[in-house]
Amino acid sequence: MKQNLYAILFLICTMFVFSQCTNIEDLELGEFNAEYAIPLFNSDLSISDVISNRVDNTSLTVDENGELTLSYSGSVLTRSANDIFDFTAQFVPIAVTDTFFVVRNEDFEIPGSIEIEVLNLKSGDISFEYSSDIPEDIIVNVEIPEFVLDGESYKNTFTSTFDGDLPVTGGLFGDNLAGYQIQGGDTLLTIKYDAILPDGEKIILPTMNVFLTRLVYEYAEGFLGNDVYDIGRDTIEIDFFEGWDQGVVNFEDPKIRLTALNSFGFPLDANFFGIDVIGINGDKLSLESEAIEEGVAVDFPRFDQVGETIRTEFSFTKDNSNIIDILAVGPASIEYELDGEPNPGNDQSGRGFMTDSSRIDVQLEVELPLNGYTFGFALRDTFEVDLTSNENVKAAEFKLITESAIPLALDLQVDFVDENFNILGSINPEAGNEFIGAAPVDSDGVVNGITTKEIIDTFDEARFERIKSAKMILLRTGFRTTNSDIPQLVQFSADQSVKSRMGLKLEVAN
Amino acid sequence: MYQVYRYCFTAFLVGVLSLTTIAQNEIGTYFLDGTWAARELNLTDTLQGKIEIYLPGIFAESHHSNQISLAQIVRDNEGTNTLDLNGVINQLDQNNTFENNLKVNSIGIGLKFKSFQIDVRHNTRLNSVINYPRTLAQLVFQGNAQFIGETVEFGPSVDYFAYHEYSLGISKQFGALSLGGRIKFLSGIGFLQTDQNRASLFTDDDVFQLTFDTDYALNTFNTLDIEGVSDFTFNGDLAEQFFSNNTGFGFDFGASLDLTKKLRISASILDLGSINWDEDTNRFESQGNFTYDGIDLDDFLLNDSVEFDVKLDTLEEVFAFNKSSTEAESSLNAKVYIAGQYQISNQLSVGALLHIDNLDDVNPAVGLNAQYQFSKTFLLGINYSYRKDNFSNLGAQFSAKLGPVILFGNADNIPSFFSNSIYSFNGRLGLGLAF
Repeated sequence: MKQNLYAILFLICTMFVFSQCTNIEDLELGEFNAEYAIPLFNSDLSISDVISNRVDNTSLTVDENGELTLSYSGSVLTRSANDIFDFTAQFVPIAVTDTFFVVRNEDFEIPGSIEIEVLNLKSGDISFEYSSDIPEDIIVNVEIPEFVLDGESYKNTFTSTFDGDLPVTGGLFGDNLAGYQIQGGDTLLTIKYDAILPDGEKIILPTMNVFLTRLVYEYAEGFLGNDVYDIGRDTIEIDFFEGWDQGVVNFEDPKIRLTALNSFGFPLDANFFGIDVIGINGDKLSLESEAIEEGVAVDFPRFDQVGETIRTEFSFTKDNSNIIDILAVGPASIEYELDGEPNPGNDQSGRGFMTDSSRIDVQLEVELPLNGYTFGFALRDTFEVDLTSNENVKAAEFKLITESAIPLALDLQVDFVDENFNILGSINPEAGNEFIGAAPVDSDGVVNGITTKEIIDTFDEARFERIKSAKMILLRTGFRTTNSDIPQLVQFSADQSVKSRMGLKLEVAN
Repeated sequence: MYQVYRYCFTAFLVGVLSLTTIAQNEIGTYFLDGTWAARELNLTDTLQGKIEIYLPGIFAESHHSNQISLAQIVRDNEGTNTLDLNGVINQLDQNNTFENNLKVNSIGIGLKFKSFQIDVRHNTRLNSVINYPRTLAQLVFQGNAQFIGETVEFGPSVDYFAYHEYSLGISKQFGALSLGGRIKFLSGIGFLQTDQNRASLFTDDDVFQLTFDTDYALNTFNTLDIEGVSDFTFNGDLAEQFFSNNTGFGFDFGASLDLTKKLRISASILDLGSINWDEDTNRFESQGNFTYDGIDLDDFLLNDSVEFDVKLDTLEEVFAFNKSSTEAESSLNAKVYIAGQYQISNQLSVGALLHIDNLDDVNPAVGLNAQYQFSKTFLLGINYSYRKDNFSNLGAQFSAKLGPVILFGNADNIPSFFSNSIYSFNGRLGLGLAF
């Protein structure tokens, strides 16, 4: 018993000893301080990077000096020959009531002021249908002097036999007119016929109808009217100011350029109902110019230029309009509507032409040469952020470095905002260190150096805690073209860029 | 960035998590005559009965290359054990070795015949050696800000393997001399070994751009799977894969000689052999140099959207591990014991021991032992041992026989139970039935 007692006592002691052992399975990480340094973002944006990634209607041209022009194009507004003169739609059955029957332009509802003198047919059929109530055979000779092929008028002869039933009928269906030229004037067509009985007597047929079908012209000539027709309306979206917040941008020499490609062979004026700039704030300003009042004359091909397209360009500039003033508001879009006025002098003796493929294309383009100045121009944008995973942050230090080679000074404001854009905190540079200076320029406004800036802002625990629930970072960037409040003209080029990068030091404790 | 730290942290913890208790070389157990634990260290140790059932027991040892105590790492914080890392990092060497060995004895049987004994048993074993620079711990726990403008190497090397050991041992007595040998069939559980371990981080002082340079390769079986920076799986379960296709053999040899009735000398060499990892063994390799300079904001500014996943993607690029099949071999960590024991009286005996636990880097431990047999059923002993840079190892062991039940235990550094200043501790506890 005594022997076992030793063993039992020792076991008890052993159990006590092991009970003092550390239970490592329940181990937790104790307090420690750590400081992590990580890069947050980097950016190297040239002006051409920014602009060439914009919407489809935007183009960027670089001249031989590397200077940039930003262009926003409107839609191409088109009017074709059919829009002006739908020839095939105008002809209806012609009831010929006499052996000499004249058809005038107006009889066929050809637009009132159009006087067709020559019409070359690409295709077409002519059909005749007649009847006689005289119980005799009959011969009908038809002639249309205005339908000419190889110098010969259109002629045809039909014979009908009396078979005991009245009326005696005859005619022809679908005689091909392709290649004929209609030589009109005041008289579009003259239909002449002789209906001859066996005894030689000429009669007037009680029924004589002529059908012109499948008529397609390839060339028309004459006085093609001065009826005004609508070319169309369009809106040019301009996203350059998409993130605009406030301020003014002045372009040195902006233009609104009208380009017309015309293959109608007659004079035409492009008349604007108006060109209106819709500002980013909804303001609407109208372009004022003598050309708005009087229209822009569109050049046209002459008779020796049939089939050719003549280009007309006209620009509204600072010299002939108030364009600089109306663009200074920060345009979001430009709206315009125009029509075409043929033969604006309404000279009825003037002759013109059009072919079945004649058309006029009109396009408006806004050109913003990136030379100018800006003052207080500001953009804003947001991107999502999630800081909630950063637990136990005792301090944070944001470090922003920029190297700017663009002639714009930047007032940068970085705010941490919630989903309702309530500002929870901001990166606040030290006083006097708020903006990133513009790259230096020479007297001609050409960049001749780089401006480097370093901004550091430290958040303590309480300040960082406030921004932890931020959903977005709101970037507001104000631009000015110089480092002073006095506007100075500067020149932008494609290779100018601003490099920026930000790092974060995060002190955490557990 | 945090994924990087998590990644490093996990690599670091491959060894740390295998730690079950802090210990060093097993000295006192060798003197626990008549227990299956002593017989594990020297097969010629004599069974107490004709039949002995080896019931479960456990042995663990751990060693860190410098003197960091458990108390320095773990503190009691209002009833919660917490890791105090800031305190310990400053005590780390520039390069550190962290070694852990674990042996779980599940079941076994010993049979005693007239002049020979048979010993059959199953053990589950784990060996882990991690070499890591101090900078790794600093990066993980203190961050990289302290290294701004510097390049720091932080790649740890790991040699970890775990296996099942099925052994058959036989010993025979030839008069005063006893000889024994044991053959062990080894079935691999898990394996993780670094081939190349170069990884460096440079933190730029500009806006803290990070440049990673890696030439890192891991061979592994059933231990680590890497699908990406944020998708890796560590498996440390020792209770699986009782038989795998990754096998090997090990051998133990022992001898003892009774010079007189009171004086015995003995020696053993253990764990000769290796395991071949040639089935389902993968190699993960990462090579390259990559600078991470933050989110490319150009995408956002130009396209009105930014993929924040890009941050993770770029890290995936940095630590993109190419996976391929491979073969490897783990050599067992051979050990040598040489001991002498003198029986002063019926109750009191003393002994001395020399232990070498690494034949490639011989740093022998020496121990002195004294045991007192309080009764036929209860023995208590103490020992003092010395190993490199470590003088303060006072241990104790006991064995108790309660009927057929044999209970024993050993700890080579008893003060560590009571003091926060001792950095080493080991322990063994076992149970057996003798008939």
